[in-house]
Amino acid sequence: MKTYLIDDDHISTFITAQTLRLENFSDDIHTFLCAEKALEQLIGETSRKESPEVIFLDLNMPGMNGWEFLESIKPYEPQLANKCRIYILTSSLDYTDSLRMKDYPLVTDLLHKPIVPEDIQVILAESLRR
Amino acid sequence: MTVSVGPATLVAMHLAQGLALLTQDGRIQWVNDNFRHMTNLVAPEVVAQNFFGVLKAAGADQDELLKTEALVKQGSSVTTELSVILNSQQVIWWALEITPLMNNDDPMEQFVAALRDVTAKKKEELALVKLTEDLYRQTRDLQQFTYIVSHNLRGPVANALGLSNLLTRLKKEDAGFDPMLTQVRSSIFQLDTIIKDVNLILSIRDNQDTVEKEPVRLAEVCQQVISSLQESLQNCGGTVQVSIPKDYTLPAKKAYLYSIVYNLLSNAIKYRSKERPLHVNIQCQPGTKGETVFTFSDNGSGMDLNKVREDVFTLYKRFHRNIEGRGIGLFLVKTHVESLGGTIEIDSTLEVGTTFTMYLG
Repeated sequence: MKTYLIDDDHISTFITAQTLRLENFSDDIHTFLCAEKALEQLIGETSRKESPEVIFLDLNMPGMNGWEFLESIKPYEPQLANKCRIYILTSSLDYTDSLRMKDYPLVTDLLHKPIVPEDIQVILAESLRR
Repeated sequence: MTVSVGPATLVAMHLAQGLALLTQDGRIQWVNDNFRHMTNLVAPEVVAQNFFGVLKAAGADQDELLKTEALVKQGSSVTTELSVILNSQQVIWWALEITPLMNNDDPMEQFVAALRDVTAKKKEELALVKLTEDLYRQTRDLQQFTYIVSHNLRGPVANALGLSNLLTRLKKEDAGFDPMLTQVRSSIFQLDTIIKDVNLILSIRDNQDTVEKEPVRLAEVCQQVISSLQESLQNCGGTVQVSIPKDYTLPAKKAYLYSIVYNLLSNAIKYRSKERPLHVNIQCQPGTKGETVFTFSDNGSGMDLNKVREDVFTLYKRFHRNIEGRGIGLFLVKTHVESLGGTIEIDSTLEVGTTFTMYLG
């Protein structure tokens, strides 16, 4: 399952990638330490119909943050719908995040770091149901 | 000698207010004893004097008197509050009410003026305003700390948790074990740094009302900062021009001034332009209200304030991905400036440079 991991924190990226591998979630993990790079690659791959199935997106990043990333992919929502699911993966416990997430139909859920095996099983179950 | 005194006169004489009857052009025709007492004037002198001149001589606020006089000349009835400086030290407050006396022939022939001491009420009012401002500031600080707890403290905690989850699935001999332990350590170190930051900020804020100011030589503080950053300056070929008289002093706390200049200069070095050698200009001049206007400008990479103005002085906000930093420098500068009772402004142009202007009391 092609997966993007967008997070500026090295340690957090390492933890998420390791946990995904240990749970046999995916061997095709692309990590991005900045959202601009991820956006560029996502647009290119979407036009070639190679978009990722799952994106884990951090919110609090210098430069383009998670919300700005979601805003920037709005024009591609029709092409990405039913192909790509986005999970916000944040260390923040800010309640308003989960309200704001509802503005973005591509966002399936909001997860709090660190990601745990149970989260991954739920995501796998959700991808089977589609 | 017998004087017949009517009930109206009795009331006017003994009411706990200063009362005056004025002519059309604002001259005093009659005052009660309380008016004399309040304005500290002796009997006959007061009659025929300009009413506003008498209040001014008693120490009432001149600007407010001029405004009131103008309104009265238009024939309006006026209610106002005047601050009064008694014997050029003690401040009291008067409520002044002036009403034109309606007369069939000439509606503005005379005025009645009533003066009341409202110092106690006014002091309560001012204390309430101060309390409201303090509460507002504290609420804002609390919101900021909630943000720090939810965003910045949670980050390294989540990492330490995630790493220990992974560690339980490894054996101590596994190749990945030791590097992961190192990462746990660095997450906890990061957590410790944030807790220390919070502690530092709180200690500055706690001292805000009790900062003991002393005369500090500004040029000397600048030189001390420059020598402590000498190596970084030399490495990047930067120069600093300090245009402050050697003996110029301002009331401040030396440690705070040092922190302000240190953070500004290390930022200037960190965010210098790649296109030209760094040049910093530090100067000061007296402001219009007796304060010191202290400016710090560089020719560095600058910022687009249209994008970042809101966040420039915010804790843990960072604008440069490729340069090391914790996002605390400018926040500390602002906190220190405010603890000294001053304000700070920023002006910046991308690829031209940045100027910080501080108004220090």
